[in-house]
Amino acid sequence: MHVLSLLTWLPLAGGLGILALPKEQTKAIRVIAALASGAVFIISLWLWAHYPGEVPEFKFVEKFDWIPAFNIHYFLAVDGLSLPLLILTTLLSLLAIISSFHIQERVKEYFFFFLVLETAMIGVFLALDLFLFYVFWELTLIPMYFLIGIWGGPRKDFAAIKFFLFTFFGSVFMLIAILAMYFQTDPHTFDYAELLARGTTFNVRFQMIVFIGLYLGFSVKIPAFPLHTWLPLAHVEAPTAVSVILAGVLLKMGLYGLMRFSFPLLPVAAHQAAYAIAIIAVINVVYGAVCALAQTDIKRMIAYSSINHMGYAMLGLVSLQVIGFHGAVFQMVSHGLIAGALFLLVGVIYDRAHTRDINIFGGMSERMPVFMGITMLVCFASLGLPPLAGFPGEFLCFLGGFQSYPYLTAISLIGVLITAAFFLVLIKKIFMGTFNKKWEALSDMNLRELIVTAPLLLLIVGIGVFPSVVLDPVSTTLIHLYDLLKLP
Amino acid sequence: MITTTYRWLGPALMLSAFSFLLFGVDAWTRIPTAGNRRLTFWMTLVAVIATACVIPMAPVEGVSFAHHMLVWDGLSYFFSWITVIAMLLLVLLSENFADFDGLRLSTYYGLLLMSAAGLIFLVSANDFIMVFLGVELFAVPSFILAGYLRHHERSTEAAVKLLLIGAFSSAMLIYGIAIVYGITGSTSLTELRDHAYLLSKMAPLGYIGIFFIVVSFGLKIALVPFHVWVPDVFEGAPKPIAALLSTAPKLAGAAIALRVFNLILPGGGFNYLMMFAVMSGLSMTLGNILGLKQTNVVRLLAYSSIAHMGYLLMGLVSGGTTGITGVYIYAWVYLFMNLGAFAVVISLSKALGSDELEAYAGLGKRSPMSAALLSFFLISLTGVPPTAGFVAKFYLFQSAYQSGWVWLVILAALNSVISAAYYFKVIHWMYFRDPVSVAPLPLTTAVRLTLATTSFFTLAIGLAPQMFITAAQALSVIPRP
Repeated sequence: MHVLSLLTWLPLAGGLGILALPKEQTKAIRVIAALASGAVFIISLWLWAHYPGEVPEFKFVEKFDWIPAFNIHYFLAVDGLSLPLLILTTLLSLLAIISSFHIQERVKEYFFFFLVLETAMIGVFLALDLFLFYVFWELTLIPMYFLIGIWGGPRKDFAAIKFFLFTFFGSVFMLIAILAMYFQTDPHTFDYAELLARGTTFNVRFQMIVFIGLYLGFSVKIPAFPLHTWLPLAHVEAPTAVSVILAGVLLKMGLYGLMRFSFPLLPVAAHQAAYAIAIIAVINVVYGAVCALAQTDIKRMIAYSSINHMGYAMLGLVSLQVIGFHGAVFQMVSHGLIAGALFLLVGVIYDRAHTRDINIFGGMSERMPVFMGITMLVCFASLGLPPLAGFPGEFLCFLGGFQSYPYLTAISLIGVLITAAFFLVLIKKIFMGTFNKKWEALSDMNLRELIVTAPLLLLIVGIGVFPSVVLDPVSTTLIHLYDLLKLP
Repeated sequence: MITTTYRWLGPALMLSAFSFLLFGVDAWTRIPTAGNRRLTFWMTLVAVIATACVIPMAPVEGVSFAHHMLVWDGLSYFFSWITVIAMLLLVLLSENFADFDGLRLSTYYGLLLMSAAGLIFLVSANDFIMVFLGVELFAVPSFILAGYLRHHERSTEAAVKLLLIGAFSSAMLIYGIAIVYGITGSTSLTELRDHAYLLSKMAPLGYIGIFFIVVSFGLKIALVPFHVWVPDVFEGAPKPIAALLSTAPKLAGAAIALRVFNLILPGGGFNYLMMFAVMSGLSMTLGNILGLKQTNVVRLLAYSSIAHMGYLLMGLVSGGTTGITGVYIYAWVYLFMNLGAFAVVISLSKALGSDELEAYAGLGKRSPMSAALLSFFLISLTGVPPTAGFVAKFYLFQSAYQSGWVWLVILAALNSVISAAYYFKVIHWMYFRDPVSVAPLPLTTAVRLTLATTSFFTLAIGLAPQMFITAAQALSVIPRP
């Protein structure tokens, strides 16, 4: 049974179904969107339940000829690396769609673009033919452009085009690098499995050039300094649900690409470039945290904190240690959940107050106790407080990082401190202090908002206490990855 | 055999015959009644479909006829089909073009068919004289067509500019041909292959001759630095003619450039690839950079066509089987993407009142179908998957990379990013701005048919290009050793 194709194309089918409906039937549109993404989520859970984690090979493989002229195949498969990210994608998409039910303007196009985006994201994590991977990667750009540009905030036009141009710029270098690898193998192939079998014999200079090409494409998405400037703008201007997807899933694509394609196919280059990338990771951590501290817009703060958190994951990744890899994957999952929850919560207050300036709130704990409790929990998770989800990820990343780059890791610990600082400042300014009478009329979280936030909360606490739930299925794959990276 | 010659001449003869028939209709009618218009429209449609039926299949290596002055091979076949399909879509678009209301169109259609005949001659030319004949047979009707709205100042201006450039480029062409004839002793392209070494032997005169021919091609295809006429002519000419000029002559010109510069001259050891690579790079870059500042959609598409010719030239530069197939594929895909974009612009021109970007504000709400299709074509022109534009660009990238032109590939990739900036400006105005009025924007059947065809190919070749790639590879004429 072609489970992976079903997973990938079901959201698109839902989207096409929505297009067929007249635009007045907003209720039917929402129901179809929720059903489509709900079905995809349940199928992905089934996949998780049936995934045999004992071997690191690819499972549920689907491979068909697509464009034989170029030896391009339609090659989908899942392994320990893509599985947690896949489930993160389907979960966050479902929650984001449910949280978008309050959108009143142009409902049909909104959910259509959302479902196309979901198809593209799932495709990115499942594709193992480099051409197919590239197609899905680029396919995420168009729906995001429209989602940010039509339903976004005041500066949405600029945010949308900046996001598009930055990512497109990185992607074309990725395409050239993919072409380079294609021509270097004999017979020419885009297939990851075949490249892996042949690829480690690439000479060092070639590996380095291709690695840089791929890195340019991935680093825009991570987002690594200095190609990160699109992120604060895009996050702030995007509507709530889109920010959730952006922070929760799209940012993971970059690191996933590095782990899936760059490292195994170009091991020598990976080792040589690791130190440089580690420095960039540290800059992400410290610079991101410091910038976040300076912000007055809550969403911008969280955007910069995303840069900071992805810095930890990057550090764990380029430590090239098994434990670092575990940390990176866990950090990706936990950050997805935490950032997703944070953006949903910001959406709660923005929907009511229509402002995100932290200086004008105050004492909200009186009016919105539930909101305060949940926000505080998620903020503590984000700053890495045990036993919540943020802690295992960061800790494992630091363990890995310390093994390879002790001084750099020591510097990045400053980031943890500053992160704690700005989240506490955030909590203080919004919830503590005297109550600002302007917000008399605000209500606490309603049922819809609680429904979308609750699963994330449960998971944040759950995987914080039981990180093995995420790490066990992934372990064999990551150890295999470490073996692939061992230099002869 | 005389009968076989007529078989190969079939398409050109059919088009010319109908063209004269339409001139006859023009002579007999005076007042542009609805009946006349309908008659001429259907006659032209029949003409194009009849021509499509008589396009002969040929062995890919080719059959030469008319005393070896013309050849019918895979290249002629493929590009004749491109011409015929372009004509078909243009006839559909011209019929309901609002600026043509109240005008007699019999001359228009007659000239259109005549220029198509010229293009078919051009792509089947095996002799420089035939090349010149084909170029002129296309050019002269196009001057008149560009100025067809003779009561509009911009149209007359466009016609005069096109005439001056056309005359200049024809003069350069004939001068270059004369020099080459003087050196090699023949205008035939087959003989040129054997005598091409004389061109380098008689340097610099040989190089000067080739230089003039290249300049003439550059002017016709509108490569940088010979592109300056394009925006003004496109803006002034009636939009279906702008659509014609942006596709058919450029693609046919690229085809004949392929024949001359890829199939013939390499035999003589004449290396001009770097020159074409530089022109290609300049066209892409300048076309895109100049397009960034445009506020008029037609001018924007004009600059985009200059850039796309730059991409197309990459296939010529790469040479070899993949390069030539790349040119075929790109030509086919470009025809559909570009005509699709022009189709939307043409259908909306009267209703929106102007071609400025401001007029397109809020089109996403006023006419979701038009806006969606225009966005789709613009996304394809940018080269984003899963559209045909991406597949075509990818084919050219891989052929250029394989031939070692890595810097050109990187330049083309960067240019795709730059072009996204102005293509998405149009999308921005359509979707992110509020409409200025809510008057309905109807789409006629003819336009719907055009849009359906173009969008079908743009999507189908993007998702499942294999069948098309096999066909193009089968028709690719391989350079003879």
